Amino acid sequence: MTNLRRTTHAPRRRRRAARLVARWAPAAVLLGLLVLAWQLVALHNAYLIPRIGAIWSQIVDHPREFLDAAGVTLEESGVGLGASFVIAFSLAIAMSHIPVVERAVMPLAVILNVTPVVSLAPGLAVAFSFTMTPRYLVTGIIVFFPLLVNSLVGLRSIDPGALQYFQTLHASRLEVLLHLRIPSSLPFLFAAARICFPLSVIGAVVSEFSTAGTASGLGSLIEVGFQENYLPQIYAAIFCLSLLGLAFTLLVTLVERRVLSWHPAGSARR
Amino acid sequence: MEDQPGLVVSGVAKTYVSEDGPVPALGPVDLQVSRGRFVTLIGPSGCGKSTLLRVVAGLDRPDTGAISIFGEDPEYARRLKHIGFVPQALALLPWRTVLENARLPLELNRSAGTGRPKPARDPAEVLRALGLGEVLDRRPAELSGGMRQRVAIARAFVHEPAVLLMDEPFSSLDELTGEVLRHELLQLWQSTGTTVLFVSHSVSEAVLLSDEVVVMTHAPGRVAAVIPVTLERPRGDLVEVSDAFRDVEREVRLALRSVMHAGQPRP
Ligand SMILES: Nc1ncnc2c1ncn2[C@@H]1O[C@H](COP(=O)(O)OP(=O)(O)OP(=O)(O)O)[C@@H](O)[C@H]1O
Ligand SMILES: [Mg+2]
Repeated sequence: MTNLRRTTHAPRRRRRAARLVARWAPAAVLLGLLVLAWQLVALHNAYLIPRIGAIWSQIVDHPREFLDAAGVTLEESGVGLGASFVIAFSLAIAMSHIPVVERAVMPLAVILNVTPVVSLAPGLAVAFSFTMTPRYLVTGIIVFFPLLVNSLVGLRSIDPGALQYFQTLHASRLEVLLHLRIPSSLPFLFAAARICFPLSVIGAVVSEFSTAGTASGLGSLIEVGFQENYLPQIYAAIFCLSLLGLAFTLLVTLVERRVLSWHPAGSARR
Repeated sequence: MEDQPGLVVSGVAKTYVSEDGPVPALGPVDLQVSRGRFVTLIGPSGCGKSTLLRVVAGLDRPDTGAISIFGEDPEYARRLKHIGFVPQALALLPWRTVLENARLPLELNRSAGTGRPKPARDPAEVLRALGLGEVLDRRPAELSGGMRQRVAIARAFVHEPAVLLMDEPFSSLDELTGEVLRHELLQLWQSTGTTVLFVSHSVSEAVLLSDEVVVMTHAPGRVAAVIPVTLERPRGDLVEVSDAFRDVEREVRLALRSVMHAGQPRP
């Protein structure tokens, strides 16, 4: 019995490992080459980019500093994103039921979207002095439009036949919302999450540039590194930002795989 | 019980307004379906069969005429969940399992369920009766076309509607699956006594299922002929090869042919 299991499982595990290698080896090789090139350039041009070892020891020597900064940046993007989502989704629900709300809100949202939001940061910093508010505002505004549009399109992406079926049972608007519109919108919301988290981090970092003195995030570390002309700190912070984005994307992928297992695009991506 | 008025359609006409002007789609149509009867509409494509079903379901308002469902207007019947609907496109919810889909009519508009004499059916039991006991936890995407069709039928029976409206439910299935499902539908229907208005484009399907076949004219569709089907029930697998079946089938075909040759432009 044990013997049998071993003979049937071992090849499968090996096949899985082979598939993993085939999937990731090209990226790993390319990454290795880029690191090598980086290191070669850094060795001869220390004023251009720092050596990898210098970046690494920057993080290893000051783990608390980077962890705290990452926490601050994560909080800024998280609060901005969360608040913006609540407002955008509620507005989208209102817009999908009441046409006049859409006609009122959409033009203003478009104007907000074409305005380079990061340029608002200094003004907001002056207005709210050195609090976290301008940072929340910038991250919130920067993700607002994609959240609003994706929510609206998602809530409208219902199967008209299913809506008719609901109507034959005299389902209320609330029931249509809960059992039809919101589930239909989920694929669009996950797509929005993938776009909006990196956007909100951009918002957080840029707003940190113009609000020195408040709690320091990864953007503040970059700012300080810039003022002190100290490259390893700048790149160490950038490295942490990438890691943050990677972790979030991984999280979204895992949650999406569970929640959207019914969705054809979701299962095809697997 | 058989001859009490169930579904009464009187003088119902509908004209759609499109960019090129008005499109007369239906009628005026007069039609009666007695309580507990199975009546099938058949007619040329575009003659307004789906329109009539939508009007009866209260999804569309007729321009003239009136509908009565056991003495109530469609709006009120919908409110009481007296209407069961199997749309041609099924409209199953892809994120729900088979069982959750069949349970949907019990979850929606709950207030209609109170004060009803008959308790609703157990969804799992209806699904099992249709041979879906093994796939209760699967999602629609993981089912064959025939199984999906069964789920839509189960869902229509779960809340024990007074009137069941079915729009060409078997037209997308292969011949063999359709054959099996027609007999399954007959069995399920016979255990409930629901009044059925069914749309078909297959003459033999119409004859096999119905107590009456209603042949409609070209658009705007009117009733051209009502052909009673007196074959004994329950109708087994062999009824289709009997002479009596062939006779009714021929009668329906002839009525359809005279409708098709009635000088109307081809769609
Ligand atoms: N929403 C609509 N707007 C405009 N015209 C419509 C609309 N719905 C249906 N029609 C027209 O009304 C007529 C009847 O349509 P209907 O779908 O009821 O026909 P049908 O008998 O069900 O046809 P089929 O057998 O092909 O399903 C057709 O000419 C169609 O083009
Ligand atoms: Mg039709």
